[in-house]
Amino acid sequence: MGWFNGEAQILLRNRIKKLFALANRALLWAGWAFVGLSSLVFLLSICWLVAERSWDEKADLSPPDAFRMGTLGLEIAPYKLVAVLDELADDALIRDPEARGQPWWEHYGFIDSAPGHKASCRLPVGFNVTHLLPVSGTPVPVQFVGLTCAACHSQRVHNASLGVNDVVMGAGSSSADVIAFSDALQQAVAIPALTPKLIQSTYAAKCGEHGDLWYRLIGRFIERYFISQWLDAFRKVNLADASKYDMPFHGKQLLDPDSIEAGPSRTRPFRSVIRNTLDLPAAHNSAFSKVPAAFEQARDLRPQSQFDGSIANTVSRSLIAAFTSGSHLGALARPPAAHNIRAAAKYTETLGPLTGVKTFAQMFPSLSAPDPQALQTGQQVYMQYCASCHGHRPSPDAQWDVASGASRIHSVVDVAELKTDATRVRFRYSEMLPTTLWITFPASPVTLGEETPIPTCKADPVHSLPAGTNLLQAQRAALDKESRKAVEEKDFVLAQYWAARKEQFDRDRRTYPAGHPLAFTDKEICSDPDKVGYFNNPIPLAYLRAPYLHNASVPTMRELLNMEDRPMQFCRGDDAYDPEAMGLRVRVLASGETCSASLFHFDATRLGNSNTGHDYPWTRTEIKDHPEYQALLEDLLLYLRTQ
Amino acid sequence: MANSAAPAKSFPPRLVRLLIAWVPFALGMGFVVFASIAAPDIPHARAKFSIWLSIALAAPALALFIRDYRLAGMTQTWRLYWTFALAAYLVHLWYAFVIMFHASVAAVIASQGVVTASFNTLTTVLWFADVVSAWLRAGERGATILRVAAHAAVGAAAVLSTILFARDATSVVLGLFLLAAIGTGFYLRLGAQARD
Repeated sequence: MGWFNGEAQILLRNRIKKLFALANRALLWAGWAFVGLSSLVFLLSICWLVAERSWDEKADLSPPDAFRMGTLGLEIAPYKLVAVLDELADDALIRDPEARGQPWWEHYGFIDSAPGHKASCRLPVGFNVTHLLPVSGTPVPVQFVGLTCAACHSQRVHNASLGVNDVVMGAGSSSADVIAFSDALQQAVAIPALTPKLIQSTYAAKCGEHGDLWYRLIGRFIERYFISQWLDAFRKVNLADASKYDMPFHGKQLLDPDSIEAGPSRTRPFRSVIRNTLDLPAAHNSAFSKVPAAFEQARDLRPQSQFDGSIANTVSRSLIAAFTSGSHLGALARPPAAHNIRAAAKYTETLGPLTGVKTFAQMFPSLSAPDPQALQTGQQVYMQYCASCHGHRPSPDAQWDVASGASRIHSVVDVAELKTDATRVRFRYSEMLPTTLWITFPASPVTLGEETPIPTCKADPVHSLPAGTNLLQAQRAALDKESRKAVEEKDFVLAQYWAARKEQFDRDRRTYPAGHPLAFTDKEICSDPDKVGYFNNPIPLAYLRAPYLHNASVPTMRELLNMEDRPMQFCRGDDAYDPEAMGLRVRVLASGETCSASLFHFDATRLGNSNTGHDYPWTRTEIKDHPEYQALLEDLLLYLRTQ
Repeated sequence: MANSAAPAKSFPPRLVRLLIAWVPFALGMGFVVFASIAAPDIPHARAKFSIWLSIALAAPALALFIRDYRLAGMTQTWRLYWTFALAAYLVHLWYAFVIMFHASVAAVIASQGVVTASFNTLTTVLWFADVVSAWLRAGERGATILRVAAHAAVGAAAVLSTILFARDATSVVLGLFLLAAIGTGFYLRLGAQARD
């Protein structure tokens, strides 16, 4: 140890001191760096908050624009992914290998927004692009594709021989296969090779957009992050939800009625509403519904919406449609979606032939005008057999008349009397839906200070809520009542269910302490367990309502009037319009025949698909027994073109 | 040789203050803004996260107030904590009152009750006035009453909302942290008084 003395000790001490000084300086710098970094995070937060305003959708769209392109909180996937689905997800999306090469949307019956042009990076009608995140509707710097009202409520009327190819806004789609598309999209997103980087490069190659300097330096990394997060979340949620929603179908199953029973132009609204609202499984729910037309829905003409007349307010109707299609409470509470729901509902109240929707004569101008005598006879038959339930339009430029002779309009016809398919109105959990739908959107806690008018079901004499009503308390009381009723009926699990719903309700009302902006009242849900059936409503633009009956089981008006046998087996797809029969020209199948790979086999013998009932004016047997009826019905068919 | 080594510099007080007050606030605001993006309801998430941040920053401010008030004098560190906690609270107020309650006083009263709503309003006013007075170094007497009242109100509101009316584990943890901070403040004050 002799060497370690004197100068050596001093040297070591100094070195240690130096080391400490160095460490101290490093710490000092690190401290300042940390402060700087934190300040940068703070600055970024402020910039983000400011930028959010520019990414957000405006809550000022006009009613037609809200219907056509307004967000409903139904954003489904990043725009760049949707734009390159054909390139990256053909294997998951193509149902008919022979149709390979068509844009993906044509496989699922969505309407080309620019027919005749090369399909580049455009989207079909009813698909909009926003900067809103799926589920929450949060504004972000990345574009997402969403569905609008027009995706389902627009119809391409086409007939090549007559040179007709027109898109009618507000008509129910006769081709969109929404459920199959939903399953196919799940399959597409699960493709392992799909990565954000691949999506970006494919998009740049296909659409020729490489972005500005900001995008190349920073934006693409932010975009990549969001797409990556979305892919992960979508894949995880799909797997997690499989226990309730089942595994999605794939390939040819997407057109197989054994797998996806709805097919084109139809949905399974109650399967969705049971899953979304009741949070219960509904795989066996076969309540099919065609996508309905949304014309002339003003309250005086149509006080109750839906085929069973179960909703008394167009706003609540649109809200429930968006909600059951997958929109979430959070997104629906945001101003853009809430505004668009209201505005689109308003649009449907005025939309019709008086506001630009083509009448039959305008759609098919090349057809010869009907014989006035035949029209008059047709009118007489209509007034005698149809007007009591549906009302009529006295002249082409007149409002629909629900007064003269319409003694049964706006009433529910018992399904036993109507004899149409009852699956739509009788299904498990149906009695739980009114309360659950109502409490899903917590009301304002403020007690009404004055009498407040509200839309109510026609049968309900109360058309305004009295001062002193507290809707939030009423919602809680309704849950308590359901719980007590379940105990009285010795359905203890159901009582437990209602108790759990109450806890959920309390959480939701804290999230929306001033009430959900689209909350409605129980008076707007029309439910009468003693009278289950279908609601008599006006039928403006009857020609655009094909295929007929609530379940789209009758392709033409001619068949609905029993002038011809209603087909039991037929093929559905993007069907041409047959103006003579007033409906869709489908391929009727003989025994043992099958549809081609691109078409959906509609089997009227399946549960929920029955095409029986609504035998007005006469049954098929009566017509066969009285040949003179046929001529009267030909005239009625001509008259219906004017309605 | 002995003089060649530079003496070790201690951390400048300003850096220390920034590190212990500004950094948590700045990073906390980043959390409020960015962590909420994935939430199903962004105003609700931001209202919740910002009140968590406010309580977390108010805790050391309360502890410092209890320790130093009328003994050592209020420090710059206290002032920073107290101000940043208020800033986070104002963010909470924006999302909670303006967005979630649609700026409806009637809805706030119907939801919270008159007593709670009034107390919250009073707390906000006192807190804001005290922070202004702290930076303006207002007259001692007025500031004294205001300061005590503001700290008492914020402390009470924070403890009640996190411990008594807590709806999630994070709030309880924050409440306990707050109580611990208050307890530490009293402990240090009593220790200092005993030494004197």
